[in-house]
Amino acid sequence: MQTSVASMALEGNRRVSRRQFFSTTSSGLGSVALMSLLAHDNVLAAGPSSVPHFRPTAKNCIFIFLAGGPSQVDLFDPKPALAKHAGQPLPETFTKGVRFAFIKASAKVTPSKFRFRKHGESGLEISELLPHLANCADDLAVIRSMHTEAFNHLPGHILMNTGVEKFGRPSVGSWVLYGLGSESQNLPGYVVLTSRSLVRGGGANWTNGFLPPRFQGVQFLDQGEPVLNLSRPPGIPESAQRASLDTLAELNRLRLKTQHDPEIASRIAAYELAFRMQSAAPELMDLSRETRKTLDDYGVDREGLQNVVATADNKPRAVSRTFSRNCLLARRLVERGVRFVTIFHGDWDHHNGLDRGLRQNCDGIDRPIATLIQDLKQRGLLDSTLLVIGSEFGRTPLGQGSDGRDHHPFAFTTLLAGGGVRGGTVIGQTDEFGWRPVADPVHVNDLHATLLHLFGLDHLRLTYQFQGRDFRLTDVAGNVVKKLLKA
Amino acid sequence: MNMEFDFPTTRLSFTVFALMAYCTASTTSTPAANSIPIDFEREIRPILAKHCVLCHGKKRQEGGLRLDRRDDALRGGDSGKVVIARDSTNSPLVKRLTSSNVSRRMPLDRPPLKSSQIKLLKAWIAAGANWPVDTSRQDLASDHWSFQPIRRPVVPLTSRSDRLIRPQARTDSAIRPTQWVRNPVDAFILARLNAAGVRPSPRADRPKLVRRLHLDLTGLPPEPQVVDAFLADHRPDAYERLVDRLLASPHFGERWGQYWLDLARYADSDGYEMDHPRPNAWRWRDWVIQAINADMPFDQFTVEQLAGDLLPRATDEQKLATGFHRNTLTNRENGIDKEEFRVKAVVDRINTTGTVWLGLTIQCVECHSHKYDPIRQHEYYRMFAFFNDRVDEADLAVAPTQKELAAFKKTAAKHATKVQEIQAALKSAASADRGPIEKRLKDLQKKAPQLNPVAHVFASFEKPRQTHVHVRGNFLDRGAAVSPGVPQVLPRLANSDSPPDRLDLARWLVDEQNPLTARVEANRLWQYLFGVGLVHTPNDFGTQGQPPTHPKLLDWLASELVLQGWSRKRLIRLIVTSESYRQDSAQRPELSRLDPTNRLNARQNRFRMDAELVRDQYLAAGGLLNCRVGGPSFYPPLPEGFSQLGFRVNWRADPLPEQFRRGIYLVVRRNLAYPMFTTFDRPDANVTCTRRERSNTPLQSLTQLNDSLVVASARALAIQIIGRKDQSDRLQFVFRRCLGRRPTSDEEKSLSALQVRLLAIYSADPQSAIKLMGGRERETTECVRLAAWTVLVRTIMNLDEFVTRE
Repeated sequence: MQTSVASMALEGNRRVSRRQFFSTTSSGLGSVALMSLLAHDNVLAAGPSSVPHFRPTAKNCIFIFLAGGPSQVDLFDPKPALAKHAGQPLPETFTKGVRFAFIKASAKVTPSKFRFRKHGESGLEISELLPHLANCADDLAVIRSMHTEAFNHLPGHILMNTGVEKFGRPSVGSWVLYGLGSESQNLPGYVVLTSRSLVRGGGANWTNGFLPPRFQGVQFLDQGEPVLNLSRPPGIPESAQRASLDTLAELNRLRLKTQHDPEIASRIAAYELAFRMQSAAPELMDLSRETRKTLDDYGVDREGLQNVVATADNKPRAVSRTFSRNCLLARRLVERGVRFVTIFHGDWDHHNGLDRGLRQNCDGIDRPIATLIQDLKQRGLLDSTLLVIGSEFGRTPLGQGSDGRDHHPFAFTTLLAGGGVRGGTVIGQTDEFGWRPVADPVHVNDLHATLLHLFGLDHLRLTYQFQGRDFRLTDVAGNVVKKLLKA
Repeated sequence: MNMEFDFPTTRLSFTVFALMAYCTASTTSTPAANSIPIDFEREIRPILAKHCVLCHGKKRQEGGLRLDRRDDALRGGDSGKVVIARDSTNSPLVKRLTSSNVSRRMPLDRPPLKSSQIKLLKAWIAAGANWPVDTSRQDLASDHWSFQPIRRPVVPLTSRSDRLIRPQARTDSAIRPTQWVRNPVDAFILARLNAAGVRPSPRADRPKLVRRLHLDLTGLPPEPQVVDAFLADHRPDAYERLVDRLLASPHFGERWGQYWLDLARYADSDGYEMDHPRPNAWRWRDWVIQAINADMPFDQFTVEQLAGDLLPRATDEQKLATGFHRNTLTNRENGIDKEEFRVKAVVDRINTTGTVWLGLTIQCVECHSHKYDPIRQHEYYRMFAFFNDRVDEADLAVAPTQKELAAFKKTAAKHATKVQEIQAALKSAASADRGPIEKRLKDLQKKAPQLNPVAHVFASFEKPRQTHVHVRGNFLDRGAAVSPGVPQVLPRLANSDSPPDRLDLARWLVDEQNPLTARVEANRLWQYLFGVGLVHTPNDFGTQGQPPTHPKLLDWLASELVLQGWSRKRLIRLIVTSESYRQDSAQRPELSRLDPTNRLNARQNRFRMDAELVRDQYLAAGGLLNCRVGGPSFYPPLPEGFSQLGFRVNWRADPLPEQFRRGIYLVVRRNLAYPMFTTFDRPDANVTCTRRERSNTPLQSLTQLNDSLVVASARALAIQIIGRKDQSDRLQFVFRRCLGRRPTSDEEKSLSALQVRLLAIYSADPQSAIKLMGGRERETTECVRLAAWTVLVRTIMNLDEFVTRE
């Protein structure tokens, strides 16, 4: 009897782990009975329903977060009227009662220095700063009417990544993983790549919140090993590691026989998975099999000043080259069944130095993102991979100082592509100043509702009970933006 | 996780109950066609009120029955339902009212009810026993268990014979109390076990017990000599003596202080974007450790944490205690609305107070009245007013530590020398050159080093603010003005002449009339000793939380806590000396269906240790642990490139002996968490945490296999085998240092085989051995031998048992 319990425990956990890499846990006390685990195998593997609520169009998501608030009036939302009113304050009806971060209501309307042109069959207007992305116009859906409440960075980051402007809620990726599980056997289901950027709030942006820890984003590092402690310690050869692991499993099994605790079986499985990950992760990071052309298109080895971005802490970091590499890694992760990838790029917080800052940043992201879209398309992955390119808010059409713009939460732009999104579309419209949406406003919660919808998940039904209440990603709001969906 | 699996069943039973109640209500709302509907309030309640409620009412509940409130009455008494809707003949209520046996007939020792009254009651039951929900009453009071006053329950055994705890149908499996019950805790546990026909687990063996006690009370593993001494101690109170020794250990306050730090969302940095360091935060942390070591009564502890500054003739120590609510986040991002973030901090203080002392989810009420619990929105802002109207953040000057003083003396001396040098230069300079030198001198003198250590505290605010309700939680949208006060569902504040302040609030929290605080604290103490509370949702004692698995035990413990002068150590002692605590933690396959989550406490629980303890185990087993108690937080080394993830983080690792201090002293930077701690589920310190998650992931495995701290600990222990007499002795030695017990013969065999394999591997590859041993100046053969031992020790240090409190 005892032996069979043990072997069932192992078998059960193996089955579970196959389905979901980071789900070998039953964190509470190890007291969740083995039998019930086996009986409710599905529950353990994938949260409430490993089956979506309805037919999904997206299987994976790559969320590119341009941290700091890129200037939408210079990039995605052309406003010729700004030139007409240049140097004047906005009419009082616009600014009355509005709180600003730095500027005053008397700040002057500042037109964009950059030209917009129509692209593709759809005639989508995109700034000259993003020529490669413009070539993908017909794949892009541009939401020009995004709005949020948060007008400071960290609350804005948290709202965009967790749906609520408060700490403690699970991130978008965690919700998706909770809803659907992962298809990767050897890699975490939710990977975060920060590209050496300034990420305000750090892990709070990919936290599992109150969801079980197995749904949290796992950060891959930009230098050294992608995952900490992936390599064997110096002086322990592979053979010694294997010998050690064999004995470890043997001794853990002996303990399982007397303690009957399924947590021990989970731990045995976790070690085996860790061992597999030690080869899977380097294989993932090894780009030597990618063609020269692919590497060049993404810009993995780009050199030169343009790769350096001045961040808010005034320490130049080679953000862009790392970002290029991360775009390629994102594709490789998706190929390997990883459900959700978040890439950060920043800093876009251009209170000053807007001209140079935008040029540098756009140069850093333009070609890698365009290449990612093309690459996914060529490999037949774009239809099932949702790409989101967005930020916590936008920037004011009013100038700050001689060459800057302030935080603007009332209207900003988010781009989507792939995963069942209608390409070559513009959603929403802002007023002549780009101050507020005048048609089809899309709140962050609406964006999240739509994202879940594309994954076949109903944002009203994807809930988790915590402290006596059913919580959801969209809190108490959210409407699916139907116009974004492919017919 | 536990919640995830527990919820379905409890939810189910909740729903079933609710459904039944609903059915009762709905079916009876259509009365039998041939009769006039009975008006409960007018016809039935007066009968119950006059004849029954004296013994089955608010003050007394004979037989566990209450007939003055709907839910209690319909639920019935200890022996079950008394009203069976539509079956008046079989309803115990009617049977007892009409019994021919005078000693059973109700009301006892009084004349029987009139036949007309009995007829009415029968008709009422026959029509479905409709007892309408009285909304006007529910507004004022709640029937929910946790809002009821704590009445000390009778201990099952001492009050009556063991008849009560023996199940009727399964007499044979019942355990006789005298066989097992050591103290009242056991009586309550056994009563429920017997009712379920389940025997308790046998006592854990002594090595397991001594390790469990050490880990639970101090967080440190027992030294092998301590285990030996305990095994050799045959006095009847050997166990109790060990308990007392550990309760008196200075490390007790570290282990139990950590729990309080989790609740206090303690960190050494501001949080938010800038996340500036808080180099003085540790002073409050040390206050906590000392107070817990001194067993400061929880009522006093509470008062000082929340309002120490308001005590008459408050000492600096009492002021320092108020740092509890200075652990809120501070946003120093440019361009913020400062008032917005001040309000956010106050909101967090209310929410945290509500969770930590009341076990209530009052954070829900920031934006709207509670959907489930009887707390209204204006009441939230009355609580808010305590932390808003007349209070502000302040800095308290404190005495510098020796180290600070020494460092200051050094820099001050350096500065003085420089000043002297310039002064000398000034003297010898030509008058034309003196200008710039004088300026330099002035500048330098302005920069004289200062030593003004402070602690972050609360102080009264001279200019009172007026608190308003924030409509939908928006602080810019001000609703009605409110004054400080507490929710109506709970007892009133004590009367005072002046408007109530934080001190009144703190005293109210620990007033014996307050039904929540003692229950919440007793539940937490239980949780720390069993891995899970009697209430599985320590942060929610409201109607949506889980009800206690042992309601009477919880209430008994709560009343005992108060009775014992709020001494946490006494309650802990009581629990750890019970047989319930001493049970083995091995799971029992035969109970996997009946009690998969061990709600019956038919065994102890086995659970992975908290992050800080995991790290402590490695250092302790390796003999590297620096056990110094208290002092500033230390910075460990971080993996390369890791500190870049934070904002302008200047991360300088402390020197070695400091680096090997206990995990509780490891600096908590909110935006740059120590990776090993994140991997082992340490909370992020942004909000209060009443119960940590316990995940089990491959990232943990990688950490345990490859982290440099683990390897250093393994190497340090391996080196200690030198001079031990033989293979078996060496193996015993390292094994016991890691796990506190001797290896079984199977384990010994398996490890010896590994030893042989490793020796062969390293003999063939001595370069690796030298690398592993850090290229020390040792003979190559010695390196080979020690490398093999290091890998073997590391294997033991990766066992599930090594990081598990069994």
